[in-house]
Amino acid sequence: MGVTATGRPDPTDTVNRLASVLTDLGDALAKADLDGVLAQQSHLDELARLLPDLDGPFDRDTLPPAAMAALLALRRARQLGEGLTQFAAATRAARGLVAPYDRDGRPSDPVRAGSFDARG
Amino acid sequence: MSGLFGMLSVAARSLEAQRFGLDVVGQNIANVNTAGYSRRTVDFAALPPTSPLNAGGGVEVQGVRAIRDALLDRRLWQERPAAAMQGAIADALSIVEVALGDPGASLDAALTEFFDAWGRLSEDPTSTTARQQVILKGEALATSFADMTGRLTLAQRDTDTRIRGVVDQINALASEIASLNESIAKGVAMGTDVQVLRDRQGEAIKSLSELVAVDVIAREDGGYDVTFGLGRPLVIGASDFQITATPVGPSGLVTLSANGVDVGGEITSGVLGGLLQVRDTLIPGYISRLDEIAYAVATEVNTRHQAAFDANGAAGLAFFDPPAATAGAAAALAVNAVVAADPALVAAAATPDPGDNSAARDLAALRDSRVMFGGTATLHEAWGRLVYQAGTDTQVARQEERTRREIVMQVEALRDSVSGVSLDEEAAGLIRFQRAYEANARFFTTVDSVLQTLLTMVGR
Repeated sequence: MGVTATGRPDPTDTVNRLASVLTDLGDALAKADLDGVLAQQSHLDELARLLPDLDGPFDRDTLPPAAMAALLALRRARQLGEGLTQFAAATRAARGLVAPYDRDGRPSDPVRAGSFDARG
Repeated sequence: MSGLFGMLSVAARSLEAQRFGLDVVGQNIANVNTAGYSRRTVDFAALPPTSPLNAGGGVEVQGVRAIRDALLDRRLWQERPAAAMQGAIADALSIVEVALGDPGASLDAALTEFFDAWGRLSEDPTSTTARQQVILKGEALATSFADMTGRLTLAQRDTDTRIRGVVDQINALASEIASLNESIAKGVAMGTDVQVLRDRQGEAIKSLSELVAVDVIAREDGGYDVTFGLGRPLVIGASDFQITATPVGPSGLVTLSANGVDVGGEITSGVLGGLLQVRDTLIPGYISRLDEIAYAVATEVNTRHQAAFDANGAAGLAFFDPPAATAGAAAALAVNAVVAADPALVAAAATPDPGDNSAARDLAALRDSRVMFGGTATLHEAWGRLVYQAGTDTQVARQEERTRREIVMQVEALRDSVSGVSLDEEAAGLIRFQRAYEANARFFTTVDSVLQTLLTMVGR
């Protein structure tokens, strides 16, 4: 990845790389490729750290299309992710497999959780 | 049922069940390329033991049913219209993009030539030929604005024609589904196999859902009720309710109604939703932007021209016919007929001295003046933004269409990836996918915000 005279990453290079990572993430989500989804996490982590520090001169001709491409890739990944989440939730609900607790430890289905009596 | 004969009976019944299953498999293979064919499966059920002393009665065929994953069907019915809508928008806008022309060879070229003519007049302010050129280039610019409005209006009319065609298709499919509902209900009541009819019905609903977003509700008699918009009935049992397209007003563009109610605003997805968005929102938006540019050209040129002096030493007239309002300014732009008839009335001087060129220079410099959008853009840049906006709208619609189609593929891939495993494994697999996505998605808000800021910074 190119750097500017100040030693910071080149904005267009960074945004192009972001678009590429988000596109790969979208591809993995579209194919339900768990390993592919997981593989993008460290890349996105690194890029998310770099983005707020973007600075220095940028090319007015190349940066806008790169940013637009990244935004489109982001929107795609978000939609595919939401599709995945809805599918997972609806499938579990349709099968009657409701996770007993949510990520915060609260019963996700109070009626079901409350009616369970282990003592018989 | 015990003893040898009992065992044989169990074996025979099981064999019969398995043979039936093979028939069904054969039918599935034979129909692998049949559009709309749903894979059949056989439900085998264990027969309960007739007494505590035997292990059970083997298996028997409970019936043939189509695998209709209600969840997947619903998902497909949601995503198809969304994808079709974006495809329709992208297709329609690609025509608009062509209408807007290539950079440097469209309205921007006419603007350049108009201001160049003022530049040449400033070099020789007494030249009648140069004055004539200013008038000619002004008329050419006005023609360019009118042509551009005409092309966009034509694109709007083309879209309207497509809307009428899609409404006809929707009505035909509604009739077909209603007819199939009737046949299926009769078949179910008589106990005959209606699977072929169901497949045809599935295909019809699939085609319909591409054209307009619909809600599909299963009926107890085996058919489907179909509604659209805010619960407007399209098919109820054996009855279909047609959408009516009626030309209205001088534009002749159609309004859509169902049972006498205007439903145009309720249709926001499917091909029809996309076409309505292009006809009623996107193209009018471009025409409005074009009007703003034409209005600015007329008023800015007139202001400078009326503050100047013509070759006779008299105060300048309005160079263009003053626009009555921003709306319609592009179509109405025209060089003042009085000025057009007499090149001496072109005002190039800031003083009554006919040799002065200050006003002509000022008008030539208008090319680089930021007179649009609150002083943030030149006339050329305003045109560039309009072209960019149309290009971006097309690009976004195309990407959105691809994504929607990918979501359908994704659901199918997910279904395949979890089939054949236990329910617990399936649920666990889906949770793992979901958690992996969420790990990445936590960055999305930050990334989105930074990209939006970047685009704002670079002035797009």
